[in-house]
Amino acid sequence: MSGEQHTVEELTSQAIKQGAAAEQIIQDSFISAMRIVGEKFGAGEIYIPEMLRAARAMKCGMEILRPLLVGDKVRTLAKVVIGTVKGDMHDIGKNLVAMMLEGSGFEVVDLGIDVPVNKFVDAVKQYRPRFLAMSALLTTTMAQMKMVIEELEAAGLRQTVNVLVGGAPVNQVFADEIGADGFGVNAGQAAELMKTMLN
Amino acid sequence: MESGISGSTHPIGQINAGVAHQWRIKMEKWNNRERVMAALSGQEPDRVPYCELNIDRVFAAKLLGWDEKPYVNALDEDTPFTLEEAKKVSTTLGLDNIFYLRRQPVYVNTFVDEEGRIFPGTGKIKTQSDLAMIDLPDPHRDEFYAEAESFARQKGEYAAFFLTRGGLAPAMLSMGIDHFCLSLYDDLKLVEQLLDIYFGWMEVVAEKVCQLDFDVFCMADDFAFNTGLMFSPDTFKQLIVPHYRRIAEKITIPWVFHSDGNIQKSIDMLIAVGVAGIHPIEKGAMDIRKVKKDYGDKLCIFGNVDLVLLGSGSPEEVEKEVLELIRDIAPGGGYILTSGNSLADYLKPECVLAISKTIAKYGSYPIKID
Repeated sequence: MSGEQHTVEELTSQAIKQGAAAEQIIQDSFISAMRIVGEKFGAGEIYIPEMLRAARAMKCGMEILRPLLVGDKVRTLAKVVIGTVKGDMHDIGKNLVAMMLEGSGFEVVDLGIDVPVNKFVDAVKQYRPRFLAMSALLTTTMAQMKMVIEELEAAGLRQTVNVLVGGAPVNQVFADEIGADGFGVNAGQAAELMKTMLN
Repeated sequence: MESGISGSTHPIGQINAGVAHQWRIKMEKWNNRERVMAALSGQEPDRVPYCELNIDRVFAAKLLGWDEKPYVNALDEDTPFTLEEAKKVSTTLGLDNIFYLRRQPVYVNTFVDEEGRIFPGTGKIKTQSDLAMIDLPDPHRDEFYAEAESFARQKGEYAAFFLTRGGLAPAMLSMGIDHFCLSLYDDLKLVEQLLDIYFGWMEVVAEKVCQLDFDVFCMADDFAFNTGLMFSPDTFKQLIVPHYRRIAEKITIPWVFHSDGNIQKSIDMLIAVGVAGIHPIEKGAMDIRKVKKDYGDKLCIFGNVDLVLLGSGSPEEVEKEVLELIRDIAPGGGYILTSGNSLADYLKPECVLAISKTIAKYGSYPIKID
């Protein structure tokens, strides 16, 4: 919880030695810890440094467990394709969401910034993600999000993926208008929202 | 004949060390600067002042029909306009200020999009040894200020704003925000050294600039996102506030502080170090009406016409927004109307022009809007 990666590494190794199953460690420790991190971040009790430390520590722990997860046990909560839309070069918010998602047990495919509509659609075709998360910081580039959703419809892919949007000018009203499935006001909320949608 | 506005008893007049805001207005007609300075000292001038802290050259070209290739350098280190251009832009938009911009270099990997626009990417300062690459222009040399001196000296009736970054924003950009944040735990010494470099430079610049003919010192030091500060208020207090306090000792003109995002948890600290005004009270992140209620007797409020409306709305929608701001924030004074950030390249000129038109219709004191 305090984000000390070496402590997480030690405790993870210790738990394995004591016979805990890797999946159990992930479920009981990592994911529940990151849920608390998300809640505290959302409540303004912790800030970006603490959130990043926690996400990094969780990732280190996952690296230890990964060799122990074999076959169909190698699974994450869900796959997320993420990117900042075409014409928009802002990546800070998108990176924070990606880090929080990875730390929360999601598999993240990061398409980067300035991502054109067809690249989002192609990525949904290729990776078959459960979620598509788009970021925009400019009012002019927000319109790209609608275009992506329309292209997903046209390609017959819309029903296969939950589309979430975020970024400074984006709000719930806009998300509803363009037919997105959700809006995250910050990185912590985005991860929590996806987890809720999984249930 | 006096206009009825007496000398300032506003706390701003007391907290700005060395700044004497004794605005005993004796003229019937106010000029732009008098209007701005009265608002900065918490008073009601003849009408609500309208200022901008930054205007993109691409937007100005669109506004004035300048025939030049659209170009954006988001590093934004040098002033975008000559004095004549600045005055032309301000006259056209009905602004009460002109601004001169000079920012410290930041150490980032840049990238260029297909239209040739330059954007800052990842930070280059990752370790102590990377600090050697920092080479800021010598702030002690008079030559460094020659252009700014000439600009401010010829300001005419405008309020002349000097706009720069503080030490925090360039440090975060140069390290990358994620590395900066993690280094608060992993390598605090690196963070402190980088802050010392940038803030040390800023202290010298602040002192020198205040000896020129500028009226307002504007410092942009973004450290918040839409729901709060990037790092804890305690970190801000321990790591950043002492630097601001030292800068405050050098500043002898009103100090306006800019940060995007929700800076609610830092406002008391900013007031305590002597900030006279905050900008832009980002819409969606902060409630300008609550800020006015909580801090209107201590700070001049700058803000916050919605950029969404200015970029994709209509002049009628902008008029409604401006009218509501005037109705709710302007009474009692201490308010300067601005866009919700800066005039970016994508804004519509007709929507931005609607701001000053609305002020002309509804912005005269005393405010009479139901």
